[in-house]
Amino acid sequence: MAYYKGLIKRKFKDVVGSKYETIQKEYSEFILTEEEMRPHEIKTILLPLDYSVTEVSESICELLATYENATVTLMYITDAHIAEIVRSSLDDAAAREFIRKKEEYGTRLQDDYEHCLTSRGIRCMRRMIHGDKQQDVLKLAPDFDMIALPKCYASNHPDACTVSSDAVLLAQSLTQPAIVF
Amino acid sequence: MLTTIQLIALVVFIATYILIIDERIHRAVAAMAGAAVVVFLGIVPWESMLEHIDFGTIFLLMGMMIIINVARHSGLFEYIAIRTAKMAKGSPIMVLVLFSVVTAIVSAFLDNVTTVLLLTPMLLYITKLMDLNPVPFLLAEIISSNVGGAGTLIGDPPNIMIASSAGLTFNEFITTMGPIAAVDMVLVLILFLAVYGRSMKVTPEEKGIITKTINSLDEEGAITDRKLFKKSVMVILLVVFLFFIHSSIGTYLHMIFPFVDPALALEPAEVALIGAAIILIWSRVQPDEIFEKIEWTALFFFAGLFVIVGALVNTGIIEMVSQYMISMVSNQFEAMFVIAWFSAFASAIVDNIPLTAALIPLIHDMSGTMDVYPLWWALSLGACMGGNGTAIAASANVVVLGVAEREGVAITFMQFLKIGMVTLVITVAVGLLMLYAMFGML
Repeated sequence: MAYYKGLIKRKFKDVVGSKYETIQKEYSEFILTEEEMRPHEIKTILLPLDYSVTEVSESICELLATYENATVTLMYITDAHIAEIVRSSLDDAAAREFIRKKEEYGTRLQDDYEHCLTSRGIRCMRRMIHGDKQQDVLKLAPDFDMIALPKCYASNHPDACTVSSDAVLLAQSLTQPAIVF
Repeated sequence: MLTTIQLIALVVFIATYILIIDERIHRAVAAMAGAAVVVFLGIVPWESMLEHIDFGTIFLLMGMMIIINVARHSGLFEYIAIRTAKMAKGSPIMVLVLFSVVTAIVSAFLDNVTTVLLLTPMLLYITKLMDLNPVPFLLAEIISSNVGGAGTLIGDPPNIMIASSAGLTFNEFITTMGPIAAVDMVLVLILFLAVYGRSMKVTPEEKGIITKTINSLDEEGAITDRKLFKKSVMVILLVVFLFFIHSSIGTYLHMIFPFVDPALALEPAEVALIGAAIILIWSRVQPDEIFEKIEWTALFFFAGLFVIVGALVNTGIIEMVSQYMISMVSNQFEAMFVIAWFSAFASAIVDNIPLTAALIPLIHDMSGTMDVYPLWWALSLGACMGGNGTAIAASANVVVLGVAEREGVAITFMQFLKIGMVTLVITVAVGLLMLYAMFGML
């Protein structure tokens, strides 16, 4: 049996050479690998929020509810760069007031999302951070199985946006599965 | 009693064949080394060496390699694989039947190794989706490739060698071996469905999921170069058309160009080289890129074999064996029987290419005592169908088993032998009966 296996290997190498590796590479461009075919288990989901998210999406709550036993982390991000501009152009008090108002809005948004998700049996966690809306999501993403991105995330004109450039960029850069809603 | 020269030629021949079977040394190197010995000792002198190397076979293989390598760049084979998978509509039996038929048809006109090398990954992918044992599907693909290849002059290297040496035409192959290959193909499918049909069951829900997943594959996306794809298909069709009329091309050309001799006939190798020139000039693919991909090792393997067998011819060993055979058989009927069954079982052990190389001069030698025309077909039948006998009998077998092993699917020697030998016996027996009927011997 060992001789037979070795013989097939030798003959294969002599007849095919390196052609099979090239063919495998070409096929991998349009058929799924075994790893990709295996259903991806989703246990932790990151849902980044910011000031441009104006309402709770019932549809995403419905969708996330299908991931039984998953925990959704609602992460509200206040742009640290804007807060710094406020501080340098006005004063510390104005910057603190800016952050307080944003966090107040963020807490309300987290409340609404938490209600929407927990009512469907999904556990939630909260995080409130100051930082970079794009870089911080990319930095934290490896700790999560999936990212759910609001379509107008980090948009300057949430009322007029169809999909924000940050949401597109993040969806393209993330290695985890991502939903843009 | 053998002379020293005869003994050396025989030892070189046997030693080379052992090295080819074992393949610890590359088969091309083994053949060249054997050839070097007989040339060095003067058993095959230079003038004789050029006579023994069958350039018809080598140029035909070279031309087809160029055409296939250019066509491969376009995604043609991947396109065929996805279309075949979609046509099966999630049914395992249909996957087996369609992949077998497509493999047989493609193998009849293009190289078996390339065909199975490009269809096997898709077949493995589909069986994984169906959660079914891929072994029956892979075995069916191998056998279909060998059976399909038997049907035409360009389908299998033994046929190319026989046609080039005996001067047989493409149409003679299509009309003689084509029906045999078609009947044998039907029998192979019946055999596979009888043996494995029960294990190929999926629930309607699973069938729905499989169909949906396969339908999500984009065959158009597999085409990497649409212009080249169209040109490749057109050149392949043109070459196949030229093969059909190669022996009488002068008649047709004379109607258009009166200065062309109506008796003009093209050799199959010329057709392949003309096709290669057309696809190269039309596609504008860098020629050095394509010439690098010509399987020089295969061509040198053939050349080496021709020289080693040439040594047996020059020393009179072939004549001795032929005289012995003639003394054993009394007519064509018996000779066909012996050649078909001997080449079938010997091909299963030795690999059908070196075996055919050795038997061709033997049949030529028998032409003094009987009409050997039917014997060429018996050799073609035995050598091609014999490729199904064992896992190492033909290149397509080795390729599929090698790909399967790399993808974690092990097919044991015995697993192959059981179905392979049954197939060999059925296909050769039915084929031989059909040959007897064609030549009025029944």
